[in-house]
Amino acid sequence: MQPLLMISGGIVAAFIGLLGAALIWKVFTDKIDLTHLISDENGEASLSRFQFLIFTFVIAMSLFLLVVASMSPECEKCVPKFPDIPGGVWGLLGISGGSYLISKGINKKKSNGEPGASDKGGSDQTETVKPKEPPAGGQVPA
Amino acid sequence: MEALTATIRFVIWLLLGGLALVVAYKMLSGRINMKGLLEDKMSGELSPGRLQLLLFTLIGAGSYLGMTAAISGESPTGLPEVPEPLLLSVAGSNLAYLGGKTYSRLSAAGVVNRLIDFIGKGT
Repeated sequence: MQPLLMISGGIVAAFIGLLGAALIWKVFTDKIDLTHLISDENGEASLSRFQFLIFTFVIAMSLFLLVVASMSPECEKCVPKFPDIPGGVWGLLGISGGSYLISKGINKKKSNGEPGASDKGGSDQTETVKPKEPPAGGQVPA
Repeated sequence: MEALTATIRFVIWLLLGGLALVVAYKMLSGRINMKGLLEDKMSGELSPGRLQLLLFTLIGAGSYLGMTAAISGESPTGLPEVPEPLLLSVAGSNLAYLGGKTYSRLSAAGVVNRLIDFIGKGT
């Protein structure tokens, strides 16, 4: 059973590793475009999105740090398991996500309420429909 | 089995660390749009509300990562509890930012001036 476990574990690790390496390479060479990763609808950088990005990285790294620590051969008492997540961490992410949503709401109100705000794009933009010109020769299709 | 564990650990460190490094590099080199991050969208000037939110975010995130690193050697069962002062300061900072943003929007739309006039007429 042990060799089978090793082989399947190795295959899964190699697959995830290659997938991740390809992803990072594509991001690095701009084949995956991250230019607007933290931009809002107007194309300017959004602080709420930036905050959400920072907290996501910090919590992901913290989780991984603890999983690695629990797998360490020096730690004899440790049992490898997914760490418990305290309420404060959810609170931190909730504050960040809530702030992002409220900020988006304020921006939306602005683009709906102000005259000329729709010039930058959005659903409230109106188009003037031009009547179709008749085809050459003056014949109108039936 | 230990070799496999070490390989998985290395691979995930590489992916998580690599992704963070690539994103940080792109932000610093201007390939991720950072234009207007600290500017008031209405006046186009540096916004103190945004600056304080950025500082609180970086300080909060850094101190939490430091706390996790400090307990990682003591066989922890879960992530460290977020200290109440840290949670309150991040929440307060976000509230201040949102309050400033709302004020800026209302002020630009003339609502604040109308409100001041209305209060002035009332007294």
